[in-house]
Amino acid sequence: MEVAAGRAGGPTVSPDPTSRVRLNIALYVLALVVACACVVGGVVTWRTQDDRSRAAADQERYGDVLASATTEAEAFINIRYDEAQQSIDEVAAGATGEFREQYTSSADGVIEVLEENKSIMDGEVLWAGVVDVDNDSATVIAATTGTVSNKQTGNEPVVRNFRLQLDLVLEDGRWLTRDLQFVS
Amino acid sequence: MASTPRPPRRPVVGSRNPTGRPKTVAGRRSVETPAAESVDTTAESDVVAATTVPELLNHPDEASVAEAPAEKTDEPPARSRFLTSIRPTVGLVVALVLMSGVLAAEAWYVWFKDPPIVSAARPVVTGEIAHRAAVESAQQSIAEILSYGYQDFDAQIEEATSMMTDSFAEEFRETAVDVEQEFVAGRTEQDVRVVAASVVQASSEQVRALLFLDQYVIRGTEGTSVTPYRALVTMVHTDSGWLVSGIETK
Repeated sequence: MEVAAGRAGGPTVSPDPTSRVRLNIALYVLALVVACACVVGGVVTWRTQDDRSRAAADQERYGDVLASATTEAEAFINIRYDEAQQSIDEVAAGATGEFREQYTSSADGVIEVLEENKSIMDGEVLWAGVVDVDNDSATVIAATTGTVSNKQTGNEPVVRNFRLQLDLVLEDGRWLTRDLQFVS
Repeated sequence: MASTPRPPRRPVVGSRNPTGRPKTVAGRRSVETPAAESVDTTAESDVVAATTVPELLNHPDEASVAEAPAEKTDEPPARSRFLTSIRPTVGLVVALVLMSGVLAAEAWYVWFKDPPIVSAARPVVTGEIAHRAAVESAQQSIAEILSYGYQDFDAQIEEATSMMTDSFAEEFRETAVDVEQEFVAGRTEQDVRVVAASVVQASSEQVRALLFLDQYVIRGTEGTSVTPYRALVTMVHTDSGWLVSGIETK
């Protein structure tokens, strides 16, 4: 190996100028190829990331919709005569549109009936699933399980399961129930 | 006092000549082959012979100016120096290592990143087409599995198990044995219809569907009774498509 006299950057070791040139050219070509692959990979990665972000947003929408529907359904099936106004307020908090108006407008009559019958309805959502969902509306069905006790049951809890369908809309970032129906 | 005449100076290679040969030619010649140089030197000598002494006297320094570049004849051009240096080699190797790292990271992100896991926040982690296909399959399968009668009971059960995973089919057969005698004795027919269907959880391997079912039961001459109920159906993706691997009813 020949050690060449240093130039501007100090001494350099060169085995053979011709082979060095060939090596550098080969490395240069390889670097160009890898750089191109990096660019292509970057584009693929960016597109993959974009796809995954959109998929994640879609997937999280299912979670948000189910959480809101579950909260509303449980508010709807948990009503106590001794906390009637609070029970109604909780339902109204997750409602919107005509459903909210109807529910709140009939609150006085509902409270009167609840207190008169000493009604207590307890329950929870057993399962809930999304029938359909898009960017700003969704339909959910929920299976609930629970009990009802009132004067008619001798104030003894009786099993009462429901099949509910809730229509929701996205308003100001919140999924609110605009319709709630029993599926007979 | 009379001055002594100065001896004529020896002509210098590369000095100005009447033909106006450029001085830089001497410098360029340094990179030419020795053979070419020797030929050129001869030609230069001829030119020098034609140069007048007074002209040389008037420009005594031009010879040295012309010769100066000739001293660098062994120096390779800057481009050659760069290519033969170890610096670009090191730089290229470093760049290659860095770019390979970037490429590996990109490949990992695109191909090897773990898929999302089903959770409360993300209960559905598969595409809509996939989970809709599974829910659709659940509806059809459940309606067929749970609809049977006292006639050809065993054949109906066997047909139903073709839509199930092996383990669930075994479990279903055991349950059917208990039901069979009751159905035959009561001449009972059962028809189950799906009222509503939804997706509860979904991944590419497993989907859980909530179905609202209406069960119509006909017992002999007693007439028809309808019972609404709910079923959570677990579907698993197999080589044979979506198969029922569990039914939970309430």
